[in-house]
Amino acid sequence: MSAETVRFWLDGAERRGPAGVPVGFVLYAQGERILGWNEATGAPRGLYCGIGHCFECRLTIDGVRDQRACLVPLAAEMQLTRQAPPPALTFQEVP
Amino acid sequence: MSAATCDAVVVGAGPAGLAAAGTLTARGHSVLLVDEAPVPGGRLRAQWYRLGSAVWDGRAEVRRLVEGVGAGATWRLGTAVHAVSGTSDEGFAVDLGAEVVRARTVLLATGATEVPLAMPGWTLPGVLAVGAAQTLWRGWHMAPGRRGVIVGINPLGFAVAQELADAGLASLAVVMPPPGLATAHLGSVGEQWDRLLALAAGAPPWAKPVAGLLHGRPGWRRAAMRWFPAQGIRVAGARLQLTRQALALEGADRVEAVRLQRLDAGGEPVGAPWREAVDFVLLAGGLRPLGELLGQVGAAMGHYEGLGGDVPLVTTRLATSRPGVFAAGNTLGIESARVAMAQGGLAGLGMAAHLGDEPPEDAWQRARGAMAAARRQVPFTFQPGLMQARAQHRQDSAREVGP
Repeated sequence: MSAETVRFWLDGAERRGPAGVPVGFVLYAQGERILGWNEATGAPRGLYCGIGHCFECRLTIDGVRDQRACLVPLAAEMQLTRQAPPPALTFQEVP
Repeated sequence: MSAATCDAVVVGAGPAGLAAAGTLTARGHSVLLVDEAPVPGGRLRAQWYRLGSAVWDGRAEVRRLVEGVGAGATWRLGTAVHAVSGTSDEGFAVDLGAEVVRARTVLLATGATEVPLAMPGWTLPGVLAVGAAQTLWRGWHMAPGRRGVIVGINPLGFAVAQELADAGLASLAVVMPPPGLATAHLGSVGEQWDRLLALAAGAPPWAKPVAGLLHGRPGWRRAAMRWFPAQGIRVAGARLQLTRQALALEGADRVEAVRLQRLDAGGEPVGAPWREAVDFVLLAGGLRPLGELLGQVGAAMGHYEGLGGDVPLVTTRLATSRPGVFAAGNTLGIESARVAMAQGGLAGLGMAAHLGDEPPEDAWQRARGAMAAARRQVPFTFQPGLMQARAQHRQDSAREVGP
């Protein structure tokens, strides 16, 4: 890989990785399988389709929520944040 | 040119879209190329395989195609198309979220998507669509893991298995998907075996061990399966285990094991399931043409299993039933990248003609010749019955949308 190595941040922790490679792939290769949690069930989710179709790899990137990690190239000083599962949803029976 | 108005918007910068854009810019038309991915080339970027003594290098092909597009195009990479509305006469409005672009013609070259195998545990981190593993390795030189299983029998799975084997990744097994999945096109275990045999009969590079197993006689399937080794046979660098079925993928917060079941010669489960440790799983459910935008513009469609699903009906110039909207590449049916490029060239000429710039006869002849040549050079067919489906699609198209 000839890409320049740059510094970035995952959940506030300092990391290094190849610039230009989509962040979802960078994190997978660094062993970070969990990229988020399903909003309804809280189950962990990660990289799946790699082409922007499945929306399972959504991260907050530089403050913008729900960015597909498989489509966004890594850039220097990028802030990546895994989106916390929301407070438990309650479902009501519809009569 | 201003991006806000142009002769043609090309949706999808894969082999079909790039070839069409190159054809249009060469004739002096302004083109806007849009793709969701941050880099051009689509799935072609991740392709690399031997073709006889030659090598098919997807990245080199992408470079060549991008050079062909030249400076006459405006690019919107990392950009999704939200909607296409309007008509050719009043101008199409292509909504890119941050801006709306107007165009007189639109090419939908949105490619294909992988059919999910929605089996128990398939959402666990570490479970990837097989194409994602190809992009990981071929696109970015990253391995999906050390010990994995491919669930599902199809040509893309074998291509990826071969690439990972060439890369020195050990212990890759290919097993059958579980019964009762919502992906109805899979059919029974027996039907999946038959489909594999039909594909092997087309003599793709991986098929030799499979074809040898059956002596080229599909009717021998039951006998062949009775003698099929439990440990599998070596195919494309992986162990093809046709008498093993994955029932579930298991793990706490990432995939750690696959629950397997032995099958008898009739495809029925025999014995108790057991677990094997893995650190990744690739799901190979096959490819389906991606056609949301075709549905949105109301193009006439038809369903062809041999083409991979629902595709638009098109003229021989690849015009859909909506004047000014063209289609090319895998959105027209699952075929090779070379066919997609040839379709892009043809659609580019069709769009030029629609813009009032009718190409000379020899340009059409070259484009049709390229298409025929591409179909002769396929490294493997993705679906059995492709050529029959293509003939039926041609016939239906001529009746519904014209020659």
